[in-house]
Amino acid sequence: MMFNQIKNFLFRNRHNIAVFLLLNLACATCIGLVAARVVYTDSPRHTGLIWNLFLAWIPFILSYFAHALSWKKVWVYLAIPFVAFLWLLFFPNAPYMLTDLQDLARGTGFEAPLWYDVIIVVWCSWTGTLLGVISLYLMQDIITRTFNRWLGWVFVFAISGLSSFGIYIGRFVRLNSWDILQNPGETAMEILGIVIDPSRRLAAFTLAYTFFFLFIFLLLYSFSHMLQEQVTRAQSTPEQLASTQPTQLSG
Amino acid sequence: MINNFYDKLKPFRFRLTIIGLLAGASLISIALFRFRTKISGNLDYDFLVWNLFLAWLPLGMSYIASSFANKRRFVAITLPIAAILWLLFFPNAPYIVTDLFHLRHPREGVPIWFDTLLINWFAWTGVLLGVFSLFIMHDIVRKAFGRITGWVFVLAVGTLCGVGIYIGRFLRWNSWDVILNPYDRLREMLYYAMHPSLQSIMFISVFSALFVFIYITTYTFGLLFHEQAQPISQDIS
Repeated sequence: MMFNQIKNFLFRNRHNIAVFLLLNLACATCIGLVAARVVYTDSPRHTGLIWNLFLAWIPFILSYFAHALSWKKVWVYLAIPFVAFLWLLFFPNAPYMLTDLQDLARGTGFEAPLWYDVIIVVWCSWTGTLLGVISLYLMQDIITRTFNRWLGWVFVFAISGLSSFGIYIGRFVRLNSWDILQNPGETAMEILGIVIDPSRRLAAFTLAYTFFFLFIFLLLYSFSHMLQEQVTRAQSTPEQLASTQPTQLSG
Repeated sequence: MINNFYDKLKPFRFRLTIIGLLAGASLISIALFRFRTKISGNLDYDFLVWNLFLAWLPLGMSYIASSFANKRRFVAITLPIAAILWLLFFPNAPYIVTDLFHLRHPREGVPIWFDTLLINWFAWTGVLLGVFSLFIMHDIVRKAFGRITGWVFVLAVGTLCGVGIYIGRFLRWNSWDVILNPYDRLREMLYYAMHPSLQSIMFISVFSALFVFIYITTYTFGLLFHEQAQPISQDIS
């Protein structure tokens, strides 16, 4: 029956749907918080965050798209490199909002309570980071399935480093993701110039944010695997459980 | 011998990884703080280290509570004591987020992006410590009373945590004040509860929502990839 099919589909994808709904709810909350502030203080402060939040959704959607395509082997080699390139360009936007906290130092005439400003930025940065973690997880899954586990982890480490470098470029060089598409030669030269002659600031910033993002990613990864194991253990029968236990041999 | 040891640890390997990661993050945070001290020559932000230490306490207490819950003897006495102590210290973990307030007044000698980075490290380590210790308590409640009670428990703790952060940030009490001076504190608390300010209501509701949201997203993320591994016989018909 048609109805049952839909019901099965919803049931099987319930966690996917839950994550999607939660992220939407989070964005709605962010927009609500910012809107309340705009109404209350009559200043357009923090509206930039909403734009950043929108940008953070782009890599998420791209990786979702790539993950859905990756079940067919043909697409893995035809379309995914292209999608992955776009994804890589936009990916740093997701954790970028963590650095927006430093804008708190810029005071304006129109003040809302400080704690309110902090909570807006923290909420947005968590949503952005989570979007980044999930989209990286999806991409890692594609790599793991196509090649092997080892390469999947190399990929995660490489992307964390590159994304921190991207955050640096966004924060200090003030380039946007689409600059490289609009103006490839000039932008590439500019980035090359930074890479060839790195400052101490670049090294420290990139390194610290790489580790930070890896910490969040690995923590969520281990947490999810712990939960999965618990659910599997709760669902398996006593016989199945007994077979997974190490047998008590003497010696 | 090493294999034997590994077999014993294997069921706990993700749990141990999480604790290892949290410990590593704490060490990196403290290293960044040391680095800052060296560069600037002053001890600004030293309270972060103390707050991080306080954030570890609820995790330890939730472990004690979970080991009490597994033992059947005296569980009705030991578990509530551990749980109440845990609840008293729990707000310290997400409290570090409010240290981001200090970014409003940048300090001399160190660029602002470094301070942002420093407090971000401390704050997120604290929040994730809180998430993990709440998860352990959530697990105990869920096993004993079922799923719905488990989530009610999470919501209740989230709200109380918002109250705790407010008390810590604006009234400047510590977790142990309630133990050292229970009568005065409870009377004062009752007074504030009877005359709430608009700020306190807003602060508590938004902070509680933030923490509950972080917890729920972490939890759902954990279940996200489970469904692909599930056999189709699980379908409802």
